[in-house]
Amino acid sequence: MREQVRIIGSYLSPYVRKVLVVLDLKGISYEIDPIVPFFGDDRFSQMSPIRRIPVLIDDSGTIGDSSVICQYLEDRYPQPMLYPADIVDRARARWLEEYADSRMGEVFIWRLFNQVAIKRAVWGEQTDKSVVEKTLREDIPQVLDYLETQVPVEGFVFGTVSIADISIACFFRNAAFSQFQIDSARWPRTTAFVERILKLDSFEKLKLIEDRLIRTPLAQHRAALKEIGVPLTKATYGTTEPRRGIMRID
Amino acid sequence: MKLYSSDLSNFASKTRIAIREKGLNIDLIKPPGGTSSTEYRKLNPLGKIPALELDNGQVIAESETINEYLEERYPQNPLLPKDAASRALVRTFSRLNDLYLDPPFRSLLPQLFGKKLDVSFVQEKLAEINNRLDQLEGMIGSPWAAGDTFTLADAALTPTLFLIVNILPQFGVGSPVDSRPKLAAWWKQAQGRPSIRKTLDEQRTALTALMTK
Repeated sequence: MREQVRIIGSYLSPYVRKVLVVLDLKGISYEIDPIVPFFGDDRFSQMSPIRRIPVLIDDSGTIGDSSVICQYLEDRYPQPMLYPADIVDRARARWLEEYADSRMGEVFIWRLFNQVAIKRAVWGEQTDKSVVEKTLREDIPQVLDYLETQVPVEGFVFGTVSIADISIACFFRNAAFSQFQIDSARWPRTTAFVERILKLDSFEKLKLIEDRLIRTPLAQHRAALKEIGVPLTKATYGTTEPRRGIMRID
Repeated sequence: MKLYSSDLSNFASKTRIAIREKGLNIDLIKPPGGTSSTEYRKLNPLGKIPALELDNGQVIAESETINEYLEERYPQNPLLPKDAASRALVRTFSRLNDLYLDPPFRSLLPQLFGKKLDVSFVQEKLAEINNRLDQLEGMIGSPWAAGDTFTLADAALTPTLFLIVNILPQFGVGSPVDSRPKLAAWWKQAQGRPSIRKTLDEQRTALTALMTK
């Protein structure tokens, strides 16, 4: 029997969410060590030298980086296919995944979520309102303008659900944690698309957990998850003192 | 099919290596009017190099996406192993190169073109590059990056390392491979490979031209 898949990383990370949705769609069960990367200990640094989440551990080893993990899961567990069969479509899907991870990550996580949530909850620092305002005024509209040209009126980008839909939708959960709402008059396609994708069962299940965590202090995340019956790992790579990694903090 | 490329770019070089490994006949052309021209932006909105234009006019951007596409469309002389875990290892090297080794190095380049960078900024970036290279030293295989066979990992790492080896001394630091024996052995081996030798020669000519301008 294969070893249980373990995931290191918090439910509140869009990159962890992407992997958890892929695991769920492929019917792979897992245990989770729900740490926020800033609280990882020395062993975490060794395992993930850039102190990033998620990390996947299974019988074939330790893999970091959500894109590498998702492609690994697709290679090892091909059904259901989450990368389009047509190779040109597959290249487009990987491009959209990369666009979401890099560009949406920069805007929704490092400029918005970092300012309104991470800075306060992890470092006890104030939000820089000017960064937030510029992000809302310039960067987010630019991203949404682009997405509006990419997402379909109905259904999924490539016919059936794929890594492209999943990657894009993941960031809108963190946007919601940051109290951001899309203007549905200005970006009707994107608004409807995101709603549609987040209604998938795999996202809905996670939403229940995320909504609970977002109201819970970081130090109590494990306990809160235990209470709602999430399959936690026995050991944790977490500590109680945050440390700055080489992670980018704008 | 044509590839919008530049001889110096480590990302375009990464794709040229893959093309040569597979023996493909793909035209290499410069972006029309440069990467920031309206014409090129129409093809690739991000204005980045490389981009692959298919015969039907469709454009695929991002070196990693292009290389995966070439691997799938032209499976001959495979550049990815078969089993899932080995494939993940190859991709980990590519990501380390694209997302973590290249950016701190790239951020130093303006100084070569006359922009005086803050000393503490330069120190911080040099330290970051050293961290990444130490990480690479810990991971790199033999004879090839991911082990027994040449893969996309070698294609990704060599053009970046070429630039680092040749440009970093300008910042007053020694060769990044001398103090790292595993990396040095791999680097020596890699440069003997015909696809890499040809590509690095192109990079070298372009770099020399740039430096003597």
